[in-house]
Amino acid sequence: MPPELAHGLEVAALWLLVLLLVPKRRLGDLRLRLHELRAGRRRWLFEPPGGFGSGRRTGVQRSFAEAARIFDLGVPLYVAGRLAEERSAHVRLEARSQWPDSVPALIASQVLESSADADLAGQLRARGLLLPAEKAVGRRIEQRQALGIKWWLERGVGQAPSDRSPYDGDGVHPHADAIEELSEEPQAPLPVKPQSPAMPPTYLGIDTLGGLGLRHDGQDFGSEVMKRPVIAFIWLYLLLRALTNPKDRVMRAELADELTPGMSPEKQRTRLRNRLSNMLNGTLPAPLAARMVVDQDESVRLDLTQCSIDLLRLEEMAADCVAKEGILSPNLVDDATVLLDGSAGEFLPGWEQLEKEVNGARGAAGDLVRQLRQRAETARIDLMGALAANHIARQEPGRAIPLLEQALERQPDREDLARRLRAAYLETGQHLRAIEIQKDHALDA
Amino acid sequence: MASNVARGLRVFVWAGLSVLVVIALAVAASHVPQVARALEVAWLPATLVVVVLALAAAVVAAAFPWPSPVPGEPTDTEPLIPPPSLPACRRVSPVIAFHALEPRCGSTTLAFNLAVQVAAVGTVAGDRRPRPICLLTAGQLTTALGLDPAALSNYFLSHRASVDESVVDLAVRHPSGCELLCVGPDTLNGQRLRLLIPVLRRAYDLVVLEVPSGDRWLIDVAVETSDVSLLIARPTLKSASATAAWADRAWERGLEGKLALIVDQAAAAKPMRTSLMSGLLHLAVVPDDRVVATNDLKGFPWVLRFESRARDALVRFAQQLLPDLMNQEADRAA
Repeated sequence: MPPELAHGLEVAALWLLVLLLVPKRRLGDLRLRLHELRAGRRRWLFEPPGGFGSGRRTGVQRSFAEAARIFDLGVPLYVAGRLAEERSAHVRLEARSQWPDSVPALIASQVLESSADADLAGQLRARGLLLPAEKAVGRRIEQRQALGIKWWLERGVGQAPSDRSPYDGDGVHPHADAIEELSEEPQAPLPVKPQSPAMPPTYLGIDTLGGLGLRHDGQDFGSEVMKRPVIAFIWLYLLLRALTNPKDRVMRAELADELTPGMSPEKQRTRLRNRLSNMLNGTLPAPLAARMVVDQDESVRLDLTQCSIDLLRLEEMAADCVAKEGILSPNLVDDATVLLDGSAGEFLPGWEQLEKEVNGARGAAGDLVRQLRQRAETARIDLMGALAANHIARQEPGRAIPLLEQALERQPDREDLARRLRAAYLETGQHLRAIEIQKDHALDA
Repeated sequence: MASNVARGLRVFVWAGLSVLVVIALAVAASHVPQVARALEVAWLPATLVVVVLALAAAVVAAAFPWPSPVPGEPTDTEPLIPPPSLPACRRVSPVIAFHALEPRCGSTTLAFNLAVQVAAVGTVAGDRRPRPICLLTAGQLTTALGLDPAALSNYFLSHRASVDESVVDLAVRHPSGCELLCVGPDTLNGQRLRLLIPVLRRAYDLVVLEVPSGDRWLIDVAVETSDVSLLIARPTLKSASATAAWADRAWERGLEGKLALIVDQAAAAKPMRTSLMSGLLHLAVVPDDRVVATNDLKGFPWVLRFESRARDALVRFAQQLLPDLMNQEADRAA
């Protein structure tokens, strides 16, 4: 035998050993693969052997496919992998054998066979399993019989109601008064959207919450302006900037870029110039055009003096009521309630549509709107909290609860409101609800 | 198929390399006596070990033959699914929002099947099944389920400024126990959603909301009112760029804790883009599964199919997302 051939055979033996030991693929995720296999979430360590599932492979072809896997993985990894695959097959087989008795399988067969709910319930009961939930039914809220406010006011003059038992005093049960009062008095009128406060004729009333209203001298220009989207966009953009920062100046270039983003600066300026010219020369109703100020320094702004803006009124009212820290005067309560009812809508609800129409919603004004919506929402919540605090201070926790529940639904992270609501629940004897709110908002015991 | 081709190529390359190595070493051994001596010493033990290894492999291969594939089970290469990492939602009546990052990425079917899974196997305090509600955007799946978007649209036309408890009556009960509401185009907006969520939370144990895309205000309100927002992506460049935009906004607004990325339709043949997985703290992967498409066409929840690959992934992420509702121990005890 020539020495080169003998050496070749010796080298081949050694090299074959290396080939059988070393895996020929990346093994960075091997641990995860083995873990998933053992849990039965995979069936193969890597890919299945060639021809698996085709059903047409002969024994020889299978042997070749398996030999390719052995060569690919190396013998140690192949053995470990096959053992793990075998375990996975067992786990899956066991899970499959238990599957027909599981809830999902029973529900699946009910859906497929369109059988009655009673059949499914019977099968689940027989296996000691819980039944699916029934259809939810909308809870019908009935108006509670409340004590008349007159009774509380008459009784509360000069003394805290908690000082006395409800049976003290004139010896008459307070509910008797209340019931009598309810039966005699006409029912309270349904809440109506309040009229905006009376303004001098020169004032411009700007309603932004729940829709746009631009009122001047008894006339509303809101719908008229909205018929011209570009004009409306420019005017409202200036309003947004003025509301977010009254001292803010909007440079023409900035406004032009907001109006027609992506266009060349010259075209932007020309378009804006034409629009502003149209606005100031008759396209825009005169009371609105009069508010637009084009300054010498290339800036444009809205003059909001002699304007009454519902958002600002809401914020001022909220600040006033919060500052009282408890009992509010009846007039203030009335005003706050009227304002709260009238400002239930979102700030400029049609803004997205307008923005999409004018500049394809590519501008930055959406952020300003979002910021102002948040401000309006915060003011509303503050106002609700202040009204609720007033009711609690007047020993009317039952009236505070709906306000606090609503406020807390809107801003679930307000811990102060959650505490107040828990106190109101406790005062009205709703201990379970108090515990629920304590758990829900992770309040200290 | 592609992975088997790759394996064939690897075998071929290594075989060629082996021939070269053997020839080179054989020639070297004829010229270098030390190499020749080392080979003389080593070849016999090496041959013995090779025989032992080959026998061991053959025994294992013979002892554990391929399992017979179960009818309906996929036989292609399984993608590697990392364990999900999702925030646990422990609030009473949590709200889970689904946001699609691109069309046909599976947000509707995932939302529906999550609700069915919770309704079918979840428990509330160990003594009853939860009652989830799922708001689905009108589309192929809702048509297959026989849901009508007009019900909710008409409701909002007659209730412009408020939502009362009667909205619950509009929901259609699925036999699994979850209830379904179909949301047509332009039916929901931010204000309506704000009003709707508290009412639904009072009546249901879980609110699953598929948020219609395209309305920024609605999306913002949905993120704000939900406990967890799940961004449903596919392993594509489009989803990766949308994820980056979401990640930026999440960091700006401090929302990263309640956002999670769900990469749907992950296939072994399509490697996942690394850019998809950067930027957000929480991630879960759902594998590509033919069972999903065939069952969606019939309006049947694939989470009730044993052979579904996606079911495993959904069950795992549901357990992590809603640990209180998906408490299996309580179920066993019951």
